[in-house]
Amino acid sequence: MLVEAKNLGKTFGQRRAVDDLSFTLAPGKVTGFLGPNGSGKSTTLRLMLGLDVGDGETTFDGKPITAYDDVTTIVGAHLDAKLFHPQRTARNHLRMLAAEADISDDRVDEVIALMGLTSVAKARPKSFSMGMGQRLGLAGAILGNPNVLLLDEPANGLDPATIHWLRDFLRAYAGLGRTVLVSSHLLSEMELMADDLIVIARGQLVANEPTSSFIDRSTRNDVYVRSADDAQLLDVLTAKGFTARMSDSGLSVLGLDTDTVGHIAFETGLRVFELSERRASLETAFLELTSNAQEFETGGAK
Amino acid sequence: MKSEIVYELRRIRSLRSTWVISLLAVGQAVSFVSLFAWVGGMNRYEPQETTRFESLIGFILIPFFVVLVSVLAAQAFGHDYRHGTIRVTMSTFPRRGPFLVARTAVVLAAALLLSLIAILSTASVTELMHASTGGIDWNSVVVAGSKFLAIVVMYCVIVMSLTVIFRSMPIGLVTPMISFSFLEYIVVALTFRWEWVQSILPSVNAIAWASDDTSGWGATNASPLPMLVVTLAVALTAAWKFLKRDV
Repeated sequence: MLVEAKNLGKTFGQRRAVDDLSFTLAPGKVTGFLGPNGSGKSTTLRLMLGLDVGDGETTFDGKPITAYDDVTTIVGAHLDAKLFHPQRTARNHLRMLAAEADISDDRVDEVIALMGLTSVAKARPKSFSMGMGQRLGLAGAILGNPNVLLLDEPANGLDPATIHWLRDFLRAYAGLGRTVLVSSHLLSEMELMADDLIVIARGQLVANEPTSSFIDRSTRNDVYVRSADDAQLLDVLTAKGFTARMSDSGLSVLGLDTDTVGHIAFETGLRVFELSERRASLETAFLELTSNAQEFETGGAK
Repeated sequence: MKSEIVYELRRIRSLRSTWVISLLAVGQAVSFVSLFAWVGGMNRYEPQETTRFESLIGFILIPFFVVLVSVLAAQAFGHDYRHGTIRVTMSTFPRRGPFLVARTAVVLAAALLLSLIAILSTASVTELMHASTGGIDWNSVVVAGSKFLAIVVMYCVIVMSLTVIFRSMPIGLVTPMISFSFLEYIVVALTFRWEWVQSILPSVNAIAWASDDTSGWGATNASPLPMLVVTLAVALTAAWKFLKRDV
């Protein structure tokens, strides 16, 4: 199912939280939704679901969400780990949501088992940990086997094994041709999980592209070379118009691949001891590309 | 609309507090009426007052039963706002209008069902306790009972609407309680020279209408109309806010 967010906008008082934000979510892919704190990610998700009233519209295969009857089978959303009544059992919580699309109790039990909640299905979730709350929220989101999943920080509070399971689950879910949008602050996790990225800052779109090409844009991608005479190699590279600098007992060369750097060193007659491509992490690329857009900057984040 | 109603039925039935409040409401009504009838039965001069169903409504059912039942109305949206589940609810049912209608209908149906049980049980208790003196007038049970049901509906709508407007269960519950129990009587005291002010007070006049008794303080216009106007005003405000604002 193709999801199109068109010109989403939302103002709180004097502050424009989301500003003319447009993007498309492709089916069959996990799309990561990134942005600094206060950048408008949660507000965007609420706008997409019609929970907040603002500008623009979101369509699901060309139709707004209100045009569908069994919404639970179209969009599954998980917005917070604690969105349940503390006195209503986990199973009753899911049975209640199941009513929307006439989903059977068998499916409720199936989802409970899938999320590893069978032992606490009849427990009241007031004492649930954040991880358990996340599982219950995810169970509600996938209850109707929806075509689209919108998840806000679903990995918060999960243990490493469950995060690993969640990653595999979401990739498999997208693999079935479904559309998955996941917002998260766990950038290392997102790097492994997301095919595409939507990055926003101060409510505006910063990037909407495949994860690999987003990381490629980082200036921290370089080739590291250590040779018999780094100073001479630096002169040669600079003379040829390439960007290089001394780095970590060697040279950092930007904009070239290892083959080219090795060839230049060979032509110069220099022995090469170490030659490798250093790739920026998603975290490095994210921090670099959103460095001017931190809404709430800490003292050390300079 | 069917799925919204099934959702609401599952919501209201899956909470322990629904059953506790229901038992408390009916239980206290029967207990108080029994006590009232028993004490009244000892008054050999005016025993008929305790068999007037209108009196039972005015003295017992409205002040206590209605407030207890209205907790169910406050919980309908109050729990959603308190626990944040309104976001889950409204992302499951993005069409707000039909959902609002379904939730209101289920809450009022529950309140009316409990009210009918309370009416029948309190009338039966009174009938049993006064069997020797002619029992209760069942015609008055029908007439006064119908008026009582109207008051239950209006009060529950007011409580639910205030909860929605302020997104707060305590405000939804306490505001009408304070207003109807204290503020109206203060207004009566302050406006004893201006009868027209007293005639538009919602609670005292509605109780006078339901209990067929205009001897109460400020009950100059035994009519449900002022309460109906207040009910419609807060209900329309709540509906407008619910449909138009952020969840």
